[in-house]
Amino acid sequence: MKRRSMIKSMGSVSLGIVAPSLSRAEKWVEPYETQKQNISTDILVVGGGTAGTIAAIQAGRTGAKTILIESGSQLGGCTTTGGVSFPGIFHAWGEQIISGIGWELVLDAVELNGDQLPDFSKIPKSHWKHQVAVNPAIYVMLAEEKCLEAGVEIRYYETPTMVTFENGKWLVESVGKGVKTLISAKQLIDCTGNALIASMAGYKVLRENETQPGSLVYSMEGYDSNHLDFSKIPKQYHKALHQNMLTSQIRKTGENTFVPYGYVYVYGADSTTSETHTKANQQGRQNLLKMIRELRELPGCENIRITSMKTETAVRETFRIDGLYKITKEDYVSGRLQEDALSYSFYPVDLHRNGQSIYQEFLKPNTVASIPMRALIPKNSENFLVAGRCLSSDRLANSALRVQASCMGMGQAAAVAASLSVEQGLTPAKIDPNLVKKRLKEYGAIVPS
Amino acid sequence: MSSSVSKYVLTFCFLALGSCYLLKPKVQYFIGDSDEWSLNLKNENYTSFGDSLFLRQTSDGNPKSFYQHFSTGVCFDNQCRPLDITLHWSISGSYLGFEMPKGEFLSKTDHDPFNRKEYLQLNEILSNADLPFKDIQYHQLMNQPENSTESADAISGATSEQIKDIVVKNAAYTTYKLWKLVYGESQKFIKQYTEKHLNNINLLTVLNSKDRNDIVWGLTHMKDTLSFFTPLKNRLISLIQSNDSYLSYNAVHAIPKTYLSDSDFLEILFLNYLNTSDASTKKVLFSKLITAPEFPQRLVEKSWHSIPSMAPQEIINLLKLYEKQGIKDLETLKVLARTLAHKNHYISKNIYDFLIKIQTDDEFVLECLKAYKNP
Repeated sequence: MKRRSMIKSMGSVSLGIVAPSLSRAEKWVEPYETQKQNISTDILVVGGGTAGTIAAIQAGRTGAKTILIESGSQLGGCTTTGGVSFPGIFHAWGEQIISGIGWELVLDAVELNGDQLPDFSKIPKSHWKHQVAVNPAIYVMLAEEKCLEAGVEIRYYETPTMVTFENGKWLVESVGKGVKTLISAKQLIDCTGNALIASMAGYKVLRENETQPGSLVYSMEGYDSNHLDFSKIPKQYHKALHQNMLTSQIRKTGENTFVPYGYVYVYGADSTTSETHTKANQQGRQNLLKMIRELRELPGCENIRITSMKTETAVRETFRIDGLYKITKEDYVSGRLQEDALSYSFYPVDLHRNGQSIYQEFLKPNTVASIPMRALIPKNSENFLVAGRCLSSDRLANSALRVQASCMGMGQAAAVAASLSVEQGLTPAKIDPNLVKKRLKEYGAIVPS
Repeated sequence: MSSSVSKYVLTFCFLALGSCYLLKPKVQYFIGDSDEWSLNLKNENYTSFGDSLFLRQTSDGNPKSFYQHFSTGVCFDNQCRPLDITLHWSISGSYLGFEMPKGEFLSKTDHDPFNRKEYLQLNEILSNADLPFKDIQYHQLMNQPENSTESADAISGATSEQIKDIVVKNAAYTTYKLWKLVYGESQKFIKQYTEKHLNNINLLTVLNSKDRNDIVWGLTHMKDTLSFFTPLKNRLISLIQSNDSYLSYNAVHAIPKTYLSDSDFLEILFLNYLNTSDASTKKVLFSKLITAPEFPQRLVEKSWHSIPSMAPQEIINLLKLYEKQGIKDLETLKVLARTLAHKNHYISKNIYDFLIKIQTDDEFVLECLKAYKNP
């Protein structure tokens, strides 16, 4: 008893000795004032998603001073934050058609994760079997490392609030947590996926009234799909239960995999603004919550639980620019090759309709679509390019062009065009596409021919 | 008289039947139309596993292939039809072909024997490891009546849509059964056995196979601990230099650590790194070069001459290679100092950072660094 009280008193004494010094370390901080600064760059890339990450790395590697604005906290977009961690398609009909920085990043992620590539020389019956599964955490870190190595200044948590064109340069006001920055850029690349910057700059953007649904990606466990009695489970749940496997939700790279990932559709999902994206995220979470509650009522599914959920709803379709050239579905499925084609694209026309069906139209053997430079340049624009799903295209062509490998190819192409524009002091529309092609090859890209 | 006629008739019939039997070719189909795997046990060594699975060996004991005899049945419509067949696998478990005892043949649901075209189709089906049969149950082969209460094996109907293009017509059960035998427990055993006994000799056998699947299997199962073996090195080089980029990529991946101590081999890797147009192979070649225990001086000298024709990212990679391999001899530094004038600022900046870290006191290099800093 004595010993206990002694220890107690010792504790009080020692606390008494330490506490004053701790409290002396405290100090009042002046009220925070938003940090304002003006900076300049050669190339400003807005959006660090699938296309923007590649565009920024490429721009940096050409030696151009490059800034990348990303509204979230990491790079990769749909591939990482959205959970569609199996980018494709880089190969068609037994040949590689998209390489360059996008492939470098994917391959590095595959190598670092100890994965194995599919045998691309074997033409699969299902196109998605040539998508390459990547570990999204590794992809995020590698993407960032490559940006930093290329000298790219990454600005997370920021978004442009004003875009003006003055004296041949873009002035972009970018606002983030406690910062407000005015960035002067010689060339601007809109990689938001939503053509938001193009629209803010005053260029025409368009979309249909109805858009494809987005997807909130998740995984769950606690049931065994092989032992469920599907005759006792309403049909509407079969897909969700088949998408998810008890053993693992992680898709291994290979040709025999058939479980892509678990997702719930989010109708009308639009990531263009904070408000629309918030709505899409909330809707996705509500849909998933509802589904989980319903699934747990089903026989054999009583113990189902969510094991992971992406922080954002991945979006398939929002706005597209009205470009110098609009890629049509006929262009796409016929593999029409234009003189200024800078990159290939390979995917079926793939329009997710109202959640009930997907309209698909496959390319004929040995047909590969391509992306002309003019589809990346808004009409009447100066020193402005886009890359990613907001390129100029009709809706059906866009449903094929929107996939990751194609967006990566576009990102690299747009950055090379922008770098030449910086060097030559010309707007991208006036750059000789052959020079763009030549430089793209130097950086490992595959140029349509 | 009548008895002698009977004798003639009987003799004639016997001879006719006998000649039919003798003239009828033995049913045997092998990959690539080769009959080198056909059973001829007179001059062969073999090891048996159980009473039906055999490992065929060369006269000096090296593994050649596996075969197994199956005497089983294909059951449907409450009947079982006997199946007497020998299946062949390579030592890595790839399907090589099948053969049947003389007089035996495969037949379809209507009892018609397979014709040559159907045997060829079956042979092709059995050679495809990627068919979805492994995810299909026996009862899923035929469309089931909606309200069927009969046992699945007792129903024959239209072949399921899911498989109709990947089975021999009217022989879905036979096709399925054989495919399952080819890719079943025996194949698993063969792969495990070979993997357990993998050494330079049998690995070389696998890599010299005419079957691409064998080669890929061999490459993806090469162990880092393998000792240096010149014939294997030569085979690896030919695979690295092949036009098949998947083989090339996997061949580079497979290079055991010990091989990276061989300077001639490293030189071949370095030249291939510079010349290959396949991005994936290039990437893994670089990762091998950077992890080699040493980068020979003669390759360093070759690298100097390659810099002017190198793509931007190759120059960056070369700097990483120099850094990892501790290459900082004066001549290399001078070559790099001259490259500081590269028009791409990204490259010149990386070279500058590399040279600054070395802290050389060479006047020429210092002059170049000073000029770079104050252009």
